[in-house]
Parts: sequence; structure tokens; C-alpha cells
Amino acid sequence: MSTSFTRRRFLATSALLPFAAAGFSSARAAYQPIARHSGPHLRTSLNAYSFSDLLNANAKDATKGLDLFQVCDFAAKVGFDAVDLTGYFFTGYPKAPENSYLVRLKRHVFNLGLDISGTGVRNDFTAADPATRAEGVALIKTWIEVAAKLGAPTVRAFADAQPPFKTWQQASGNAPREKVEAWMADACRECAEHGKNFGVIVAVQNHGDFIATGAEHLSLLKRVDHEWCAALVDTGKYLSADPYADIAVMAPYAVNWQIKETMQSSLKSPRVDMKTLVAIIRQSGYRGYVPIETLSMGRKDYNPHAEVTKMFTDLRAALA
Amino acid sequence: MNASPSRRDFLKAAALLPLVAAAGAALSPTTALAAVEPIKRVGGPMLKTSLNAYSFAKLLGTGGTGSLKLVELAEVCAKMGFDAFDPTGYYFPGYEKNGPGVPTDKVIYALKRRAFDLGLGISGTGIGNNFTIADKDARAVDVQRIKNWSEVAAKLGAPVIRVFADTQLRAQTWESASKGAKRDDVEKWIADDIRACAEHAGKFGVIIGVQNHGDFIKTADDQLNLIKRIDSPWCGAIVDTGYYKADDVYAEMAKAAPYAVNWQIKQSPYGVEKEAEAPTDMKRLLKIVRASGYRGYLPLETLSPRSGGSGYDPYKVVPKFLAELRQAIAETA
Repeated sequence: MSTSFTRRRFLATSALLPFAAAGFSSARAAYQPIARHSGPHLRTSLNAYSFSDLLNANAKDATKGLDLFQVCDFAAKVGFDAVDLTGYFFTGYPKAPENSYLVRLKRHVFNLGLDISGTGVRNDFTAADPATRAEGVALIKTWIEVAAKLGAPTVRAFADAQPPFKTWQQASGNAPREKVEAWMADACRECAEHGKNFGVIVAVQNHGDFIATGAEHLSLLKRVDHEWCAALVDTGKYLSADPYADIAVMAPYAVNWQIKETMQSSLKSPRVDMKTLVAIIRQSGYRGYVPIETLSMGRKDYNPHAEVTKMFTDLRAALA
Repeated sequence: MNASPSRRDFLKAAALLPLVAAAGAALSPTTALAAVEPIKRVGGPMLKTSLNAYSFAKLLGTGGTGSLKLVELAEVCAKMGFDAFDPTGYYFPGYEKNGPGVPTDKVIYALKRRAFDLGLGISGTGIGNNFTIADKDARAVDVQRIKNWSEVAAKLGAPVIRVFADTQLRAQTWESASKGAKRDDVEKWIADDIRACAEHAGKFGVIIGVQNHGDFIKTADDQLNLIKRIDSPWCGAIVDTGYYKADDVYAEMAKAAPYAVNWQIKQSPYGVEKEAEAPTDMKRLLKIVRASGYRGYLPLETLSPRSGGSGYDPYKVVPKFLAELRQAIAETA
């Protein structure tokens, strides 16, 4: 029997060799779902992007719209447990904001009894120009440090093309998908390595372009293969016949969410079935925040206060 | 009636003048606060549960040398259904009781990540210190320790770090530790030391929480007088519901609650030894917490009775106490 034990140990050791040779410090054989424990435990959060227009108006003229502090106040009044503070709306973005601004915001959120479930920036890792991708990596690294100072556990990164490009094919100059995925994985891995040094997770969001399905989302994460890189599941951006199935595929890898009003982030697609969604999230054993993000979707009469409150009520009902 | 607002405006402007002058001196300890005000609360009370790791003191062991590791305690807390936990500094590998040592980033981020994956918040951390002692150099060592640990708190994402204003020396009081110094002098030592800590912690967005521990701080007035003398926006109260020494302990809690940045909810307001005869009236306590508008975590801290031998089992005591806290939160909502 001792031979068998030795043999098993030998195999276990040799299985690790390729990783050691490649310089990987991770002891994991392959990218794994997040280790869940003790059953699901869900709490609510509000993504500031829901107030995008009002936040942008305030950035141009401080007497107009809302600032991030006021969005936090609103979240507290509605009854959210946390806020997700999109990077775009920070004073100074895309540069790292002044330390004094960050500690003031962190303290404001604390006094409200809220947590910060995440933050995020805009990047394009599908671009053929390496400088564009490097710019995205630099921005995410900067924002990882911002997140660490704020106490935000995750930084959202995009895996899809950003303006001026409309699609990843356009952005990549029609490069093969395989090649673009490799660019993206390298960029995400570099960000995740930085995140590891600050205890911040890089959360890659599906946005319906390069990542339009759960399989595509997972394929990228497996290629990144880093403990500090995981999924942000946008429930309104799997552009498949059965988006709930895609959400179910990705829920085990989720470290953050964006719960949208409709399944394809447009008024033409069906409204989210909150009960079905919550059941899927619970099934995965996810413990943490489920942020809501409402969008104007071209509605002239879009009222984020009302839409957010409605979504919050629906989510709370489904949780109960 | 016209003259009245102008007069008020004038007085307001005049009141701001010293601050403007002070702001010119960049290194002045004076803050932008005219006086320490209660924490601004918005949206009505919102309460979440947490567990102070000290409840598992013996199993954790100083420096993380016990049979239970902090990451394992986080799992225990998730399983019991807490929203957060409060990992006391003592139980981190790298903690030095009298030295400046802190855990490595690897240790800090492993715990931060495990807590995150468990969906568990980190409501605070804390270390032990002695600011009532006459030895100035020894106090300076503790100031440095707290500064170092406030950076640990920032890395962990813990918003508050607990410090003491009371002596932590075994079998001593502030009177003996200070070698008979006057109360006002000792209060000044403590205030100067904690102010230095708070200025450092504030750069990292971390709040220094001063806990009442029944020695130098026996009443809410003792606690608030000190906090007002510290006069930093980065210093607030940790209300320990088991450590006011006064006739009406609930009145003390009510007085300190508006300044609370964290709590320690104990089994009895008179010490755990009195739990059987005078348990904490959780409903009364929660009404006090709610009346203050407090929003945030309410950490429990259960203790092993001093005379109780080895009968204390946190795995049994904590869930029972959590159920009482939850019931009181629900009943007072």
C-alpha cells in the first residue's frame, strides 16, 4: 500500500511540473469556480451608472444633476446594502482621483452604513493597436489601487469593443477570434496579477459583443487562468436564445453582477424574471452583492429614481 | 427680524475665522471641524450583524497560534449567518503585543479574499494599547503600532480600528499606570496620542474607534470628553455595551450612540459574570441603537466568564446570542 501512496504523490507532484516550469505560482491545476460555502447569502447593491445622465450633468455643472455622494444617499434611503461606484463619475477620471476625494467618499459611504460592492472602468482589449490595449491595462491597474483605497473588492473590466469601434471584429481589424481572445487573456492576466498585490479582483463583464454567451465568457476566464480574475455577470448582455442558461453557466464564477431590467438591455427584449434569476443565483451558492443597474434604453421619460426603486422592490420580493 | 439673520451670519463667519487661520498652517493638528459632532445619519437605521473574533479568543490564540485560523473563523461566521466579522489584530500571524509588527500582505489579502468569497463584510479590527502609562516612549511605541495597523485595516477593507483609552495592564488602573498623574493630564496624553493615530488613519480612510473599557472611560461623558479633546473627524466611539460603570448603563449607551462608529454587544452590561442575573436587554438596546439612527454593523462579542473554568463554548454561546440579536432587530424594526 505504501507503494501506491508514493505513486500517487509522485503523480501529484509531476502534475504540478508544467506550472512550475511555466513560472505559474498557482497550485491550481485548472481555473476553478469560486469556492462557495454555507449556502447562498444575497444582498442588494445599486450601480451608480443607473444615474449616468444626472452624474454626467453634474460633472459639467455642479449645480445640476447628482454627484456620487448624492447617489449614495439615495441608495441608503431606498434601502440598498451597498453601492457600485462606476469609475467614470469620479472627479479626475480616468486619472486616479485625489486621495482626499477617495477617503471622503469612503467615509460618506461608511456613515451611510453601506458597503462598496465594486467599481469599474472602460477599456478595450479587442483593439488591434497594442497601445490601446496597454492603455486599458494601465487604467485598470490604476483603478485597482483606487478600489483598494476605497475598500471596493472588485474592478469591472470589459471584454468587448468600445467606441469608436462598434464590434470586436472592427476593433481587431478582423483578426481571428482565437487571436483576440489571447490578447484579451494576456491583458486581463496582467491586470489580475496587479489586483493580487492589492487584494482586488478583476471582474470581467459580458457585454454582448466579443462575450455574448456563457461559453465565451468562461473560455476567456479559463484562458486568463488567474485566481484574481473572475466573472461579472451582466444579466442583460448574453445575446443568446436562452440567456438564463448562460447566466447559470457563469454564476459559479461570479464575483459581481449587474442585474438589468431586460434580458438584452433593450425595451424590445423581455423583462427580467426576478424569481427565476434569483433561483439561478442561489443555485450557484453565490454569497455577496447583487447590484441593480437600470438604463435609459432610449426612453425620453427615463426616471432613474423610479426605475431603480421599482427594480429594488422586485429584487427584494424575489429574495424574500 | 432682519437684523437677526445678519447677526447669525456674522457670528458664523467669525466662528470660521480661527479655522481659516489654522488651515494656513498645513501641519496644524486642528481639523476643519468646529467641534466634534454626532455622525451624520441618513435614511433611518439599517442594522447588520457581525461577530468580534475575540469571542473565539482561546481557539484563535495570539499571533494566530491556536487551532482555529482567522480564515476558518470567517467560514464559521458565514455558516452561523453573520453579515460580517471583526477580526481582532491579536489573531493575525505577525501581531506583536508590544512591537510594531504587522501581518504580511499575503496574509492580509488571503483573509480579505476569503471573507469576500464568503460574502462576509469586515466590520473592523482592533489592537491593544496603553495610553495611560507615564512612560512617554512606551506610548510612542503604541502610537506607531496603531499607525501600522491602520494601514493593515485599509488593506483589509476594515473601516474602523479599535483602540483603548483605558489601561490594558493586568491588575492595574489608569491611576496606578500613570503613577498618580492628574486625570486632566492623562486625558491630554491619550488625546494627543490618539489624535496622531487618527491623522494617520484618516489618510487611509480608516477611523480610530475609542472603546469604553471601564477604567479611564467609565461613562459616556468620559468617552465623549476624550473624543472631543481628540477633535478629529477620523475618531469616533466604539460603544462596548458591557463596560460602562454607572448607575444607568443604558443611559450611557444612549448618550454615546450618536458618536458610534462601531459596537461591541456583550451578554451583560455588567460583565459576563452577571449574565444570569442581568443579561443585556436586547430590545432596550436596539431601541437605543435605532433612536440614534445608526447605520452599519452591530458586532457581538461573547466572553468566557473569569471564574467559569473551561465551560465556555463559543460554538454554542454565539449562535444563541446571534438569534437574540436578530430577534431584537426584527422586533424593533
